[in-house]
Amino acid sequence: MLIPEGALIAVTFYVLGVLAIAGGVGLILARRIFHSALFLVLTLVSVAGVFVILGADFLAAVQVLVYVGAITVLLLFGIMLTPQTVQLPDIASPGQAISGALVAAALFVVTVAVVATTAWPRAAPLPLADQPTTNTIAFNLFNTYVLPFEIASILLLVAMIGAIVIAREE
Amino acid sequence: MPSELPPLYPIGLQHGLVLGAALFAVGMAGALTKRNAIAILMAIEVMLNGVMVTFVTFARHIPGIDLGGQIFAMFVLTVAAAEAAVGVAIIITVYRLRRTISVDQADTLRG
Amino acid sequence: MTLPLCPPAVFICDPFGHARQGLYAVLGAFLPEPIPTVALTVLAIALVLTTVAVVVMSQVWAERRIIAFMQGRLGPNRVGPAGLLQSLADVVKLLMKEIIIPTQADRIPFQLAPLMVLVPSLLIWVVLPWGPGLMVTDLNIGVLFILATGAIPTIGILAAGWASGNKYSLLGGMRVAAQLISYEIPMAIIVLVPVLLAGTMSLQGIIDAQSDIWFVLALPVGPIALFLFLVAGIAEVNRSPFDLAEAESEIIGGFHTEYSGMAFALFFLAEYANAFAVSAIASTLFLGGWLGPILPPFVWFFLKAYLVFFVLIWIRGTLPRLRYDQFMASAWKVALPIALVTVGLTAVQITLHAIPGGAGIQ
Repeated sequence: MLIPEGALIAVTFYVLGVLAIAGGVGLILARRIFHSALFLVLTLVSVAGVFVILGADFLAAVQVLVYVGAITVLLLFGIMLTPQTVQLPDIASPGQAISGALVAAALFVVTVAVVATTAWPRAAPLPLADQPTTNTIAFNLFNTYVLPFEIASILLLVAMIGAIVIAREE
Repeated sequence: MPSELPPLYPIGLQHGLVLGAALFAVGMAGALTKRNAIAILMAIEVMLNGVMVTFVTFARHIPGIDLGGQIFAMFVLTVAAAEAAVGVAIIITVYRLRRTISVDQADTLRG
Repeated sequence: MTLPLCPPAVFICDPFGHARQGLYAVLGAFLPEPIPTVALTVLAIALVLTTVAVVVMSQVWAERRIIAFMQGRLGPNRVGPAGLLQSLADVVKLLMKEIIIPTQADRIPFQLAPLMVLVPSLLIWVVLPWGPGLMVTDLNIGVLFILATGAIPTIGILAAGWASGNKYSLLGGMRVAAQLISYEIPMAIIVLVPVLLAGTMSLQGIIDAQSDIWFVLALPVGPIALFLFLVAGIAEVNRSPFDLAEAESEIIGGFHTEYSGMAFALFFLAEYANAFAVSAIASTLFLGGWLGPILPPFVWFFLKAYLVFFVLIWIRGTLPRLRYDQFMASAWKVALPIALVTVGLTAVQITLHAIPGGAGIQ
């Protein structure tokens, strides 16, 4: 092999990771809310790619279907139904912005420190080949996790009714 | 050249966790600094994505949980969908009442 | 009565497979391992893209001729024999036109939007099987992949509508978004019927499961599912009678009002590529895909896909456009309940082993 397959996967992971984070940063820095939404799409699609690399192909497809196809479209609807006649600068006052960024940065540093110092169970290196995940997910979803599954269903129903009741015009 | 062993997986556990933490932090910075309520919702979605990356990384690297991490990522997704639906409904109602969706100006309950 | 299949060993039955093997042997003799595989994958992608272009031009020609016939007109008949080269002439015309960006437009999203619509519709072609083993890649989540890629163009259309800085474009964009979301749900649910029957989401696996009986004949759910799939599919690709997004008599051209030249052509290309993809997916999920006697598999694939596309043309030539509220109501109050009941019925039948060809329970 000229290029080892592992290196290709690693490079793809880094590229997708950088794109995901860039999308998040762009979301914050964009002046227009619509551009923020497009940056959000970039993040979501990149994260779906990361899922594929992590062997979660089913979840990646669901991520695109639900996040990009439904949630982002919902947010875009929200944007279009609330036209802002005056384009306000969207970032909060400098003090709040700086302190917010500092808190987030501090959180990141602490998390990375924890990740670096924890003694993770060192399993043997995993083989590259991925198994299909759909059957395993389905089986566990309806056995081990059937109670959370039912609760999630009820949550969706409640959210749907709640959203209709709140947004309805009398 | 006959294939001997399958090539090893090159991404370590820590890589995924750091990416998840970075996404979470970026989303948090956005949620704390933006004023547009919809932008805050979007930033929260980025945070949730960071959580999902973390879950899926654990599912990949810690054996013996039978993809529990991926299933929990699916629950996160469900909750995100519910949250976005209710969030947008609330924002639209606020806009209807006050003609703005800036969180600084929706301060009726401030004492 | 079983007619013999086209044996894959004969060249004409599987020309792509033979070409692939021959090329692989030739390239493999000179070059180290990753290069022949990569080269062949690139070739396969190039072949698919070329096919998309040719198919779209043939579709446009067929649609104009057939609609003209239905309406007692002639249709394009000047350029080439029977107007066959008319589409080519149109492509040349569109290529040479200037792309006008309105001053009110938001430039970068305006230019990105056609790509966000076109690229996913090309991606769907990656998983369409033309014959046994004859696809760019056989994903084990093929059906879900199609649904997921089908969801991305919504964003592109909304971006086009919003970035044009034109109220008709915005209205068109919002209409499409509402329509696509509404019909995506019955579509995603109804696609579960063949998935349940076959017990797999791989398109190749779904076709293999139909070697005894096509899923459209798996009574009673098969015909209902196919009908609902076609209705939702037409809505997903914005074709008449569900073309409320473009509705030129109501909102000018909808989301692509402000697009000209090649930028418009990309939307146009995506629309027809999607229409053919819906036809091909319908034939794969319900009509046995490339399965068929005597003729080579890839001929069957295109034959069935064009047959379904003819039905789409027929519907377009026959039915008037729906009113917007009727259209949305039919998604939520008619299509969705029918889809849910059909999937439930399928599951019950499979559990009771009361369905012909049902292979879902191992």
